[in-house]
Amino acid sequence: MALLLLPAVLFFQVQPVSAQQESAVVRIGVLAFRGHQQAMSRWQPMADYLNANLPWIRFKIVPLNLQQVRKATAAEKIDFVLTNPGNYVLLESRYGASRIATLKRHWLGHDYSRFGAVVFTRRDNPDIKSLKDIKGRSLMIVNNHAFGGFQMAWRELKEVGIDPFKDIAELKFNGFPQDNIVHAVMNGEVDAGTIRTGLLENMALNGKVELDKIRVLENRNVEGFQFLLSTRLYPEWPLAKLKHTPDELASKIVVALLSAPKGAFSLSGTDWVSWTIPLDYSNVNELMRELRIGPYLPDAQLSLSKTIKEYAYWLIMILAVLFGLALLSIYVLRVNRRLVDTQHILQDEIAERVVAQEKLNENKRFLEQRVVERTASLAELNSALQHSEITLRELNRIVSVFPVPLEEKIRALIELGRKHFGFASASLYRRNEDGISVVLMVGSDSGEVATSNIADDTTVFMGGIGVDEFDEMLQDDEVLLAEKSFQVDGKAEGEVDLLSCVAVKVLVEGKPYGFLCLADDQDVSRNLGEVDRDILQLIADWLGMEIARKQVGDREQQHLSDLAHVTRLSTMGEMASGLAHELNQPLTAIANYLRGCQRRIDRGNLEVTELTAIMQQSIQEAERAAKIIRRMRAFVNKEDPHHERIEINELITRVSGFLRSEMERKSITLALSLAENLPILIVDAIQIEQVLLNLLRNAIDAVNVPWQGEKKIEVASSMTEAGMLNIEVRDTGIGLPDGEQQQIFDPFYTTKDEGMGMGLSISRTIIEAHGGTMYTDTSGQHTIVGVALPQSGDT
Amino acid sequence: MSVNEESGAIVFIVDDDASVRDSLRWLIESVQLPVRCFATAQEFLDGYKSQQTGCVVLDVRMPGLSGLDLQEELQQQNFVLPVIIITGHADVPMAVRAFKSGVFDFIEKPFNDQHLIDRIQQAIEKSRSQKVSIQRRQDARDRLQKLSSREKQVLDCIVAGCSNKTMARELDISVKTIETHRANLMSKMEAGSVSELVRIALLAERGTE
Repeated sequence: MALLLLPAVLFFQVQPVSAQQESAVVRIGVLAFRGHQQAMSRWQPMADYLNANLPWIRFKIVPLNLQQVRKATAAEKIDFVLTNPGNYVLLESRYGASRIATLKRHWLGHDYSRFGAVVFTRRDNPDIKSLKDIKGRSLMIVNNHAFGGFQMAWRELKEVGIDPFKDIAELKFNGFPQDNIVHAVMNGEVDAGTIRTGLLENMALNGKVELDKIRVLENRNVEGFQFLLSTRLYPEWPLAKLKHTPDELASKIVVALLSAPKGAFSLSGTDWVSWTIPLDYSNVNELMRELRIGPYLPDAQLSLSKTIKEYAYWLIMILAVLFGLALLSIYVLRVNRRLVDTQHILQDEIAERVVAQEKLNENKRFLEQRVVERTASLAELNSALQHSEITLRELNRIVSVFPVPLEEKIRALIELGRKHFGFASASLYRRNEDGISVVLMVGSDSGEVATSNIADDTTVFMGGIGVDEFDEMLQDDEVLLAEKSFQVDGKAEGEVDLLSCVAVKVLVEGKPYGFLCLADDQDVSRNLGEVDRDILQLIADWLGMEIARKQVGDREQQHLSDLAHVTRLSTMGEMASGLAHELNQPLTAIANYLRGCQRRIDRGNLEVTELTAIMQQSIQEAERAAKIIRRMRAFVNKEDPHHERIEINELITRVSGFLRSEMERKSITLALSLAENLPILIVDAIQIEQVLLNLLRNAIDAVNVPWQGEKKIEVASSMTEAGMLNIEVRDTGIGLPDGEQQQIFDPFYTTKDEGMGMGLSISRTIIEAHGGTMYTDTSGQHTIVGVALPQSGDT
Repeated sequence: MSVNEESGAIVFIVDDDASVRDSLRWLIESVQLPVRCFATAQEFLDGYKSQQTGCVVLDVRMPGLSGLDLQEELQQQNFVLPVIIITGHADVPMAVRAFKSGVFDFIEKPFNDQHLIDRIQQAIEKSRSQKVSIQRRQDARDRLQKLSSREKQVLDCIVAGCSNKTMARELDISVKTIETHRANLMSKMEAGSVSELVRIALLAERGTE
């Protein structure tokens, strides 16, 4: 669309230039409503006159039809225009044409510068007597653009309420000449017709029609106007200059035309035209407005040039956009080309890079290969370290697990050393009174060989190191770790002839104890690295520590077992009641068997076989009773009191130590209040310990109750004025029921749910056996249970 | 076959000591009483059937459930067999606890065999009579079950001592209907007289309490 309009726009812009160039020729456009020929013949005389009067200008008549007039005006192809009033008004409003003169006609002896239209019918037509009557009838006109031939009548019809395009049964277009309209009406072809004024009179003059047979509708009489008239009058045709026409030229033409003599522009014999000053065309304008035609056409078909003019801005915009788009596409194409070029370059680069990448990959593979190799060696190292770590972990596990018996720990440590270095056997050697002995030995094939005190003759340490050398090694601070490989002489067939040993010194409480010796039939020095040595040393250190603990433990164990014996002994009374029940069982059984037999004998139905079986049963029960008694005797086996010299405070401290951890667990505070310079006692220490243990245990039970506030136990030692050595245990516990203070020493008296009630009873027995007494005091805040022992008479 | 065995009474011995258990069996079987032995309280609980008559001889000191524990357990299970507890060393609190929990007797070792056997016989006798009364109560309850709800209402009125007329007014039925119900429930309850009817009814009632 925009493209199609393009040439018109260009033409529109270029034209004024060419008009100026042809300024020598002045074109007068003339509305040729009856063909070019007629127009030329009619108006050429005027051109001739002007040419004669204005010789330096060449005037040219350009005949045009209605549409051409507008186009030529718009295109400025003409400089002046001579057209009907209706057309002029349009050109004036739309293209800025301005009238310079109005036509004046001299016709039938009269001068007219104005004209109108006649609407007529046949006089003998009974139906049409006024304009209103035309409704529903047929009407003939020139055409709907004809100013005098239709539009003037249309205005009047409209005024009486008739729309010629709706209300008239048949609107016939006749065109020119208008004479035919008159003929058509007279022939009865149509009911009515309209023509310009003066034509009827002219026809009548020529005998073409009889005026008395014609009825002019709404005939008007206007002063100074001689012709039959149905409509208002309008000014005659104007001569107008166009917008581009210079005013100077226009005024020269006006002067020439107005000053022309009469008959200068003759049309026919009696008719001529002349020019007068321009009339007022406002009523033509009114007509146009009322009929909404010409410049007032609502849906005016916009002429191309008007459209162009009106939308020029937009068109230019669109063009600009199109131009922009074109530029853009060119730019895009160029950019694209450049991109393609760049792409080629990049592809080349990529190819180069692929080659480079491959080289890099090759290097990378090479490096990876190196890394793999390096990693493998590192992994080897790492696994060695891991192995060490495992061993260390295992070592940690062994030494930190408490409940395992110490002997087990020592064994586990030795085995750990053996396993870590992969030796066939590991032995712990020590020096004893007679020579070198193997304390413990573990081996891989025989599972585990544990020996102690292997006969001295057969003990071989590191392939034959003698006692003296062993002692030397043991005492030498330098020798911590010894390695040796040697041939074994004189071995039986099948036995290994090479032995490799690694011996590491074991210190117990800082003193040399012996050696941990690892032995195998392979070369030792193969994989004993720095770390391995450290580990071996570490194992040896721990071994020493565990041995030390075991030695301490053994001593404690011995003591505890002594104590346990006393416990058993002194709880004999307590056991008595249990023994009574135990003895009751076999005795009851024997009695039952015998009475069962007796009853059967009484009835006389006892079989001998039955009797034998029952007797057998009875004998078994009797043996069972005997066993119980034997067990009781074994229980009290250690009868003789073993008196020794003791420091009572030391004994108190030791016994408290036994229970310290238990008291801490139960949040019990223990306070020792020990007098100094106490005499040495000669007593059965274990029995006295048992008594103290008993008292402390009772105190713990007394304070260890849920509602107890302060949990405190105090042990005090002192000398009385009477020369007795007192040991008191005081507690903040629940105390004793009133009146029961002395009863607590009775057998089977207890305040505990699970107690047998024998503890204090036995304690008293022991103390009394030592010549002492026991007492209680609950008068104060505390429950006090005390022991009073006499000083030993001698030594 | 002894009388005891015919009647199905059994002496259950529960003792963890095999010799004592076996010797007790020997002793008790000498008076023709059938004996079943169990080593633990649990074994006894598992093997015992509730409709059995007889008695239980328990040792008080047993691992697991003790004799007293078992007795109390049996009491909670509405156990009807009389229990004789034998103990090696009795103390007063234990005896009190035993008698409170409904033990039949508490015998201390060593015991007189005749005394034990006498107590066992008496316990069995008690068990048997208990069983009879339980049976009677069960019979009465069974008969009561056969009654329709209307007949039960009539029975309640009879027990309460109402006349037929009062009953008819209260239950809003005719005297004739009451008489029919009476006849029916007499036959269903297998009662020869009103006093017998009331006795059976009360027996059944007591059982439900």
